[in-house]
Amino acid sequence: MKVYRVAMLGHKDHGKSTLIGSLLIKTKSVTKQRIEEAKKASKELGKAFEPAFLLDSFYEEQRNGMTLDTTRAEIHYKNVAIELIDVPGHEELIKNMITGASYASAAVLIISAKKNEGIRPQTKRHLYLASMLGIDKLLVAVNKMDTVNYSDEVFNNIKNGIEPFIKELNLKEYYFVPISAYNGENLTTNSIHMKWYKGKPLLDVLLRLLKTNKSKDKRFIGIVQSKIEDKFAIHILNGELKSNDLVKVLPQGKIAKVKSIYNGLKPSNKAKVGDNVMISTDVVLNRGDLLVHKNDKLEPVSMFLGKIFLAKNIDKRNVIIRINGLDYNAKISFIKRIDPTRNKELDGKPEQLEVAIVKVNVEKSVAVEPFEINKDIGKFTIFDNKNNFLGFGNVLKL
Amino acid sequence: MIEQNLNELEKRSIYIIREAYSRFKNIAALWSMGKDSTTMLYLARKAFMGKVPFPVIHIDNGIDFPETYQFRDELAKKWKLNLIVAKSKIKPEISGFSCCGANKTIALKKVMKEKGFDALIVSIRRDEHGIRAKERYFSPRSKDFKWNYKDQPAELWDDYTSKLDNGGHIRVHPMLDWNEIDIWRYIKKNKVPVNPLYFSRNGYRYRSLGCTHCTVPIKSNAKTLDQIIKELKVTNVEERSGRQQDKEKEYIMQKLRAFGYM
Ligand SMILES: Nc1nc2c(ncn2[C@@H]2O[C@H](COP(=O)(O)OP(=O)(O)O)[C@@H](O)[C@H]2O)c(=O)[nH]1
Repeated sequence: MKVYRVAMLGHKDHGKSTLIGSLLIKTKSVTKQRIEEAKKASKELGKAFEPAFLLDSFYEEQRNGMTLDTTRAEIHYKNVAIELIDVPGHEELIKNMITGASYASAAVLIISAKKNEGIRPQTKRHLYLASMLGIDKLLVAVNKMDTVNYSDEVFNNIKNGIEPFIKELNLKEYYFVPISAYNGENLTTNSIHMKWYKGKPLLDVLLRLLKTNKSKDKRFIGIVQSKIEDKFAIHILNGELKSNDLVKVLPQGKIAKVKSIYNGLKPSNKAKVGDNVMISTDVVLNRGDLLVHKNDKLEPVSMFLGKIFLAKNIDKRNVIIRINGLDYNAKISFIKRIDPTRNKELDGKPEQLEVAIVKVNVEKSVAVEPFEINKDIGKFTIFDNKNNFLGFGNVLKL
Repeated sequence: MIEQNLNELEKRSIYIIREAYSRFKNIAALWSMGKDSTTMLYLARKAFMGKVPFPVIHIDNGIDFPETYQFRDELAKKWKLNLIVAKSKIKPEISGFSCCGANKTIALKKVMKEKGFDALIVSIRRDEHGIRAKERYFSPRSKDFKWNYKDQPAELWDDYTSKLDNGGHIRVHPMLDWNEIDIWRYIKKNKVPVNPLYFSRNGYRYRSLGCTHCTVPIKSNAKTLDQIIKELKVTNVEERSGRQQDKEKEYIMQKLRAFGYM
């Protein structure tokens, strides 16, 4: 059951594995046997029980050829299955971090309250990337509260320290929860040590976060995957499509009539968001074409302003960008250089792991919209001509 | 909740199968007649109005169960599959537990080369094994079928890499997100045909299918889909007894052996 996917973010050693381990135990999503093994492993190393070993033992298992996941762990809580995606924190693995986080719609950001830990540059970079990837639901877990006597003052300092950054990034729905991942405090039941905290325990807050549905607009957007004989495979990104609808085909600009819809093994006269349908129309459609309602204002452009994250240095202006499933030659010109760990403008040319505001000139016109308005058609990925991944971006302005 | 989840899984898989079909010039799918690859074919039919538009490969070492051959022939006819049977020889020097793996790899390489396939749909699931945790939906393989898991392409949102310049091919994994129990629930809901070997006979059933040489049945009384689902629910949450744990290991070994040629 993987309806909900959550990316686990945060600076190394702030307690990601420990939190996942404790959640696996608290929700009984792991067998007793496995817990015993982790206990034994801890003991052998002369340590008290380390919940993180539950995850580390997954790594072991992996090497020894046994089950279970390392990068994805599934927990079951109150009849809901949540997939926790553990992303690597190392800078050189940023490509994998981006891949993992892009699968999620929500994130848990872990910040340690321990002395000399707190908010770090990597904490903020992860947050920045999450917002660029379209994660709009956030739970900030302030961890290791046991090391600061469960002090509300320390908690509030961290909260006040990171909240302005969260607001700047436009992450609309977010909560703060103080926890001790190690002691399992405030994960599934409220902690007696933190009576000053009036909210719900972490997993209940997470469930609430995951379950809130933004009122989805009804605007129809479909994307053409391929042509099959005389029909077209359409993936519905938003809204609803009905037979006899008149749709605008972009970037072509033609108006097409939807003559019939096939949904799965049966003809149907309606399809909704997420569906993969076959349709027949009076216009020939091409892969990557977008379909919108005939009166929709969406128009193709060949230039736009974008915000990009540089997974690698971009030395040449000529790149390949992938938009709506198609590759285009494009030229990018740097306008601003931004340090994502401070959200501050810098002088000079943007480098690897930084963010840039760029002008993008595309060889042909494409139908896009600002990411803020529409995540489905407001993003792109960047490659060099050897198909190396250079970064990804959001459309800012047309 | 379960219903919603199956719908999501189905939609994602169909999307991936269609992406793969439109992105590659010459794609095929592996079919072992087991529950995962049969469910995948069912989804492919749903993706393309009832017809699987790509060839389906059975790597046949000649020692599969009679039930499996019968199931293959009946379904291939009923679903009008373009079936390619790639014969793999049982070499005496590669025998025992590595037989499926090594022999099948040779046969698969041969058929891939002969037909010039640039992509292969393989119905692995992430919950089968830890090493699956790092697979992408589109996973490149080199010319000699090697998987460089340390340097995989980025895979953002619903956008999968389909370019390769190393003479290799892409493995497409539409079933990656499914758990074993999801498969059974889906089969039940949609009446997907099932190989009879999965159901209990004389107190044993097969949980995973390979050839007659390396497949071991598990102790089980599950004779119906509901009973299999019930059995798996218990196995998932309750502590496993030592014996079952051994069975578990055996099951995983089988799976790996069966997929050794991947
Ligand atoms: N005192 C205390 N230590 C913790 C807590 N959570 C994690 N730790 C410790 O912090 C260290 C790093 O934790 P780990 O989970 O490996 O961090 P990761 O790198 O973010 O996955 C380990 O030694 C943990 O025992 C906590 O709540 N309290």
